[in-house]
Order: sequence, then C-alpha cells, then structure tokens
Amino acid sequence: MSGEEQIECPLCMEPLEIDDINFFPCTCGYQICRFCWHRIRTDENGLCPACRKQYPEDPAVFRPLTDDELQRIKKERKQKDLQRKQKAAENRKHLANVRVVQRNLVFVVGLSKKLAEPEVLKKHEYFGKFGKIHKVVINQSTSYAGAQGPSASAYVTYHRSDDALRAILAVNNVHVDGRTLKASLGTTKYCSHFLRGAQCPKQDCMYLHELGEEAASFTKEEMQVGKHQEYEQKLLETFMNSQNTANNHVTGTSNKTIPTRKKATSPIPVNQTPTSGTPPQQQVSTSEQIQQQQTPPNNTPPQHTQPIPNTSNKEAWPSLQTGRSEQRLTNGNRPNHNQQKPDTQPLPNHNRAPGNHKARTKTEADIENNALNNTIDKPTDTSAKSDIPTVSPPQSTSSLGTGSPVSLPPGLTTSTHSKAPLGAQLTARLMANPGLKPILFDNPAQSLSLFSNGNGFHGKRFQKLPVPTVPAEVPEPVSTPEIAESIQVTSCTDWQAAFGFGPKTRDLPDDDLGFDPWDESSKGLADLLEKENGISQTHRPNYTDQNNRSNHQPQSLPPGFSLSQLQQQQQQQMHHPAFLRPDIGNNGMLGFIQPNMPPPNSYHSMFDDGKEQNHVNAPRDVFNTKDWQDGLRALLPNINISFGAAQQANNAMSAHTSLQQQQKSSALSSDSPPHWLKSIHQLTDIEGSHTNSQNHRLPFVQQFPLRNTGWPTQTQTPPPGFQTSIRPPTHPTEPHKISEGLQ
Amino acid sequence: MASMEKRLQKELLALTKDPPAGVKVDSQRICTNLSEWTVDLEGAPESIYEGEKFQLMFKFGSRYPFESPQVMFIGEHIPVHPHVYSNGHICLSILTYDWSPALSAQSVCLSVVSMLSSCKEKKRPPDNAFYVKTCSKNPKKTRWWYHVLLNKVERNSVNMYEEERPCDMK
Repeated sequence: MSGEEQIECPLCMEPLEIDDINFFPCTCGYQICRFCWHRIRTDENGLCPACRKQYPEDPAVFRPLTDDELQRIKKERKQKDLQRKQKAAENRKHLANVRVVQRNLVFVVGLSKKLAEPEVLKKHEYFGKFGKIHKVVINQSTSYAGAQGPSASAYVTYHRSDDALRAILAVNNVHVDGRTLKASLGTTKYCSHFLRGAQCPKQDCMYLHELGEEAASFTKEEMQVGKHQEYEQKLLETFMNSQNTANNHVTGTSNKTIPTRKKATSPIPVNQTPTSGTPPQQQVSTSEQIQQQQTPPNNTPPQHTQPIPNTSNKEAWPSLQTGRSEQRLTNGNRPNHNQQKPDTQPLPNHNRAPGNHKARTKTEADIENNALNNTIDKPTDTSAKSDIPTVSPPQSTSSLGTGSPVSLPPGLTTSTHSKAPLGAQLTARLMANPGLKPILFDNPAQSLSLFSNGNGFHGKRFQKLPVPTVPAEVPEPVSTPEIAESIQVTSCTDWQAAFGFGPKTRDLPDDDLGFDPWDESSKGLADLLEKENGISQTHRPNYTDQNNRSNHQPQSLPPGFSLSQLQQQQQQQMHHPAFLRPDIGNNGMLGFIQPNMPPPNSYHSMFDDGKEQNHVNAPRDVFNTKDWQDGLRALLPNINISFGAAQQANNAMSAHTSLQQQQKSSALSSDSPPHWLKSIHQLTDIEGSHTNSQNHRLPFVQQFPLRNTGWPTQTQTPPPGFQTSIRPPTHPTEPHKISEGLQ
Repeated sequence: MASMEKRLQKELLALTKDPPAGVKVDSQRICTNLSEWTVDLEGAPESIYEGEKFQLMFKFGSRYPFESPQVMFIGEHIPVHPHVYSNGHICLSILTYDWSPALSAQSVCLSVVSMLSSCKEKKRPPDNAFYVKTCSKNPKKTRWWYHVLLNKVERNSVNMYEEERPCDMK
C-alpha cells in the first residue's frame, strides 16, 4: 500500500488517484493521471510525452479496479491515517504537561476590579502604550491575589515580544489601587486538539498548535522550581542590553534608557516593592519601571490625554493650511483647542499663539495683526489707509468692519508688493494661516452683522450692535465661550495702532470682524450698488484706484475679468471678489450663528427673504457641528456655486440665497442689472457648468484665485479648491495670497 | 498553477539532490521565486569548454510543464558555441518544438551540457550579429529551424531563423 501511495503523476506530481492506478493511456506504458491525459489531448499537442506518439482515442490499458480492490485500498488508507494520528498523539502526550513561555505574552497579577477589563487594559494608559496588543484575557479568579485582597489576573498578548518585555519591566511591582502588580511572561499550554493530532476547530485559539521552542518549554515540575523565571530573566536581560546599546548609539553615553524616560514620567509616586526575583536585573528593571510607568498605574487619563491633544493640535495647526481634511480635523478639534488654549499659548510663535486662541472666534485679525506686525512696515499702513476710503465709498459702512478688515488686506497686498519683506511675510502668513481658516468660519456669524453694516443697509443697527453682539455671536456651536476669551481687543488695537487704524476700530465687533472678507465684501457691495445705479464707469474707477495704489494693473473692471495670473493682480482682485464672499458669508452666517440676531432680521427686511433664510438656518445649525466643510461652503456659498461642486442641498440653498440676495439687491437698486450679474444667475442656475465668459465667473472665480493661483483658469475644480488653495505646494507665494484673500 | 508549483518544487528538489554532472543549483536563491531559476553550469571535462563556468536561467510559465520553460545563458560568460548566440539564446529543439511535459529542468540541463560537450569548435552562429540585433528578448519567440542530426540528443540544431523573426512559434 505504501508503495502505491507514493505513485505520482510525472507531469503534475499529484498522487495518482485510486482510479488512475491502472490507467495507462499510451502503448508505451508511460503512466500519467487522467487529468494530464485529458489536458494533453484537448489543450496540447496530443502526443505522449514520453514516446511522442499520438495518444489513441482510448487508453491503451485501463483496468478499472474491482470493488474488492477498492475496498481493500480504502481500508488500508484509513488504517494508515489512523496509525499516523495515533503516533502523533503519542508523541504529543508528554506535551500536555508542558508549558511554553511566550515571549509576547504578559501575565499580570494584582489587577483591581476596575482594571480587570480587556478594553480598559488595552487602553493607551495601560498596556496599550507598550505596543500593539493582540488579545487580552482576564482571569477573574482571585487565586493569585494572595494577601492583597481580591484581584484579577490578565494575559496580555502583544504582537511583538519586545513590547511585552517592556511592559513587564514597566509594570512589575507597581502599586495600583492598593495592589501590587506582578508582571511576567506568560506561559501557554498545548491545545488539546493539537495533542490529539486533530485540527483545532477554534479560529482564534490561543493555545499552542505547534511545537514550541525547546528552551522555552517547561514541565510543571520545572516551573515549580522556577526555571521558567530564569528563562524570562535571560530574555529581559538581553532585551535591556539591546536597549542600552541602542540608547548608547543614539545618545552616546546615555545611562540606559532611564534618563529619557524620566522626562516622560509624571511625578506620580510609584511604590516599589522589591521583588525576590533575580537580583541584578530586577534592580535595573525596577528603576526603569518607575520611569516608564509614567501614569499608567495611576490611571490619570486626563494627564495623558491633555498632553497628547496639545501636541497634535500644535502640529495640526500649521498643517491646516495644507489641506481640507486637515481643516476638518481642526474643526473637530476645536473644542479641544479651546480647552488647550493655555497649552497652545506658550508656543514660541507669536502668530500661532494668537491664532490658536482666536482661531475659533475670529481672530483672523489678531493673527494677521501679528503677521503684519512682524512683517509689514509702516508704508503698508499708508496703503491700507488709502484702501479704506476707496473700498467703502458708499455709505457709512466704512466705520463698520472696514476699519480693521479693509486695512488688513491692503496691508497684505502692500507687503507682498514690497519684495524684500516677502520672505518674512510669507513665513508669518503661513503661521497665521492656520488660524485664518477657523476664523473664516467663525467670522461669518459676526460678519453677518458687519456685513449688514457694510452693505449700508443696516448701518444703524450695526452701530447699535456694540459689544453685546459679541456674546450673541458666541453661541455659535463652534466657538462659544472661548470666543469671548479669544476676542482680544488688545491685539486688535495693537494692529490697528500699527496701521493707524486705531480710531476706526472702536467696537469689539469690529475687532472680531477684523476679517478681510468683510471689507472686501463691503467694497463689493458698494460696487454692486454702484453698478446697480447704472454707473458702470464709476465702478471701474474704484477698482483702478485700488490698483493704482497697489501699483497693480488697472484691469480691475469686473472682478472676474481681472483675474490675472500675477500675484499682485490677484491680490487686488481679492479685494474685489471678496465682497462677494462677505455677501455669501453673511447669508450663511446668518444661518450659522443666530437666526435671532438683529442683522439677520435686518437682512430679512431688506430682501423680504425671511422664509428662505429660515430654511437655510435650520439645516445649517445641524451641519455646523457636523461638518466643517459644510460650514465653509455655507459661509462661502459663492465658491461652491462657482465650482459647480455643490454637493449638498445646503450649499445649493446657500447659493440660492446668495443669488437671490444679489438679484434682489440689483433689483432694488436698478431694473437693469449689469451683465455679470445675469451671468452669475446663470452660473447659479447651471452650477456645474461654467462655460465661457469670465464675466460669469467673476465674483466667484476671483475668490479662488486669491487662494490658488492656478484656479482662475480652472473654474470647475470643486470645493476641494479650498484644499489646494490652502496648501502652498508649488508656489511659495501662494500662502501669501491665500492669507490675503482671507483677509 | 498549483500543479506547476508542485512540480517545480519536486524538480528543484530532484535537481539539487541529484544534479547532472557539472550542474549546480542554488536552491536558496530560488526559494524566493520558484518560477525563475538560475543554474550554474560547468564545462564538462575533456570538452573544449572544460573549466569554463556558465549560468543558465530558467523561466517557467504558468503552463509548465505542458509548455517549455524559457532557457538561456546569462551573465558575463556566454559559451561560444554554434548554437548559442552571444545574447545567451540557445538553439535547442527541446526548448521549443520538441519540448515534452515528460522533460524537466534536469533533462534540459543535461541536454545543454551535452550540447556543449559535443561541440568541436568554438564559434558563434553564423548569423549571430544579425540575430542578436533583431531578436526578441525571449528566445521562445524566435522561430527556430532545426537541423536534424544523426544523434538524437543533438537534434538540437543549427539555427536558420527566418526573416520574419521575431515571430511566434508555428
């Protein structure tokens, strides 16, 4: 039988089946299995591999096995199987008494009830911090407790043995909840199925299914003598030696890993109980343990959590500039930021600290202020001043947000103009940028009021709105209490003072508004009004004026047209397009912030759109907390529209509202709206399909170019544009632009 | 595919265990990729290639053993032989038309060694320059013409490749 079993098909090397044993397809006697025979005859050349003769239609020799033979063969095979299994079982019988030390398994004794939970132990505060944990098994029996009172034990399986060793070094002999933790390498026994030579039916069986390392295998007797502990000590020693060498390599003459760990460790007192284990290693291990343990035993999650988020936040901030996703993160983190404020403040960077604080609120102004202070020279101030008057030609709105916001953009532009400071400015901007985005979101709410003022429609209200408005804004889902804190009048004043705007910024709201978009928006509104009046020519002059100031091209015309690739142009354009933004932002902001806010009401009165606004508001409230991006879009509905990536009904809604606003405004002012207004309407209607005339794009496009140089040509690119805009990939100057645009 | 792997494993085992004279397989190197072997050859004693060392590369397709492996000389040292082109291509009938699934890497090695051993004069194939310039990388793409010699083992051949080359085998 054994001989038969070994027969294989020479082609596929598979053992011949019972039916193949007497199968010889060729007269030459060359035996192959019927699978190969069939394959050769159908797919190949049909020649016998050995003699190269054509295979006959029927096999030359095929004598099917008789039933008796079949039975006999089957029986023999079964017997053989049985014998093999029995042999295996006998070979493994002695293994039932053997335990194998697992290098990646930590056995902990002395866990309090609170800790005796797999999910708890897996946490980073506890065993999770030493490495990736594969499995935690809790043994609630208190048999190991000894004199300590009821306590549980646990098996923690790590993916890496080094992690397990580190965990042991750190956790052994630590006092937690009045108990002393004892940690050691765990042992595992062989799976009963394996001992029987059978397949283990359990998928995640933690017992052994293959022979363990000889050196790590101990019988119960050996374990009672403590031999497995010796083995463990050896492992620990080698581990520590390796660590020490590693440290030495890194830090030079560092004393083991201890010093580095000390830093991390918290002052929490750790009680050490000298163990009777191996003396030399133990000492080292204990010292390390103390240091390593940090907070895990103490179970002070707050400590852990706080530092971590802070660091992440710090890192996250700068990153915000780069991508939309990051922005989202920041949004989500906002609450954290608020809490962490204290932590963030200490940051070395002027810009960052303020940015973080205000980020939620609207500290754009602050950030920019910082940036400006750092980078901008007085000359810029003059330019800024000049901008203001030009920007807000119509009405008293100049006093509104224009003071701070308007000035900001000009300053930026001016700074960009002066090439020398560019580098510094860029860096400053970059720093400030992270804050900028958050500001945008937050701003909208405030901006609403401002916006209304800027429009000049609600100018009176705005004036009324003094400080109290701020608290009203505070309720925003995002920034709430922090806003109040974040609002730094001082910083604003400083900035303004630097620019000579001090007098203009009387109201806190203004400071908060410090938003560029506002100014720009107000400008834009003014422009619109002018246009509506039918004075298209006058409109041009305004732009040109601005351009002239900044030494830019006179092209300004309709904002969209001016979208020149030049940075300067873009910057200038920013002012123009910005007005659109504010408009939109106002609408969206209304929804975001407080429907009850006076500005919104005024807005309603203005456009008689009360119903629509309510519409928008309801969904937005929900979204505010949910999706940062949605918020962005809502704030800047125009952008969404222009990109045609209106992904959500909300966006569409906002776009609608903005459109209506514009339409209404246009209608109010003049029966014959300028051509570009129409185009805008078309755009909104079509949304996705921006085709030809830049006129259509004008407002929307402009905004984009500010952020992203590449944008002007590509109108289609979706909201993602934000991402691109924010990140400074190709052009180092982009961040500049972005910040400017925001301002 | 599975059958191919199983067969290759067995062949490798057999070749390492019981290689033909002058053949050496580094099974360690092959372990990573079973479908590509490198085999060291040594010129048989008393042949004109005595003492010379060559490297043969085997590439086994998924249809192996029903399809012949791709075999060629690689490395710096390529034997100067009327059936071996300077780019390593070998004109050997069992590598194309005369392949049979009953053959194996072992038998191919034996054939190549025998081909080298039976050579009386070191020279390149007459059309070496042209062929090397125009041939495909895969020698199996070449349409070889084999001269049937008296000796069955050396049916191998002189290559009189066609103008259309490189082209698929007929």
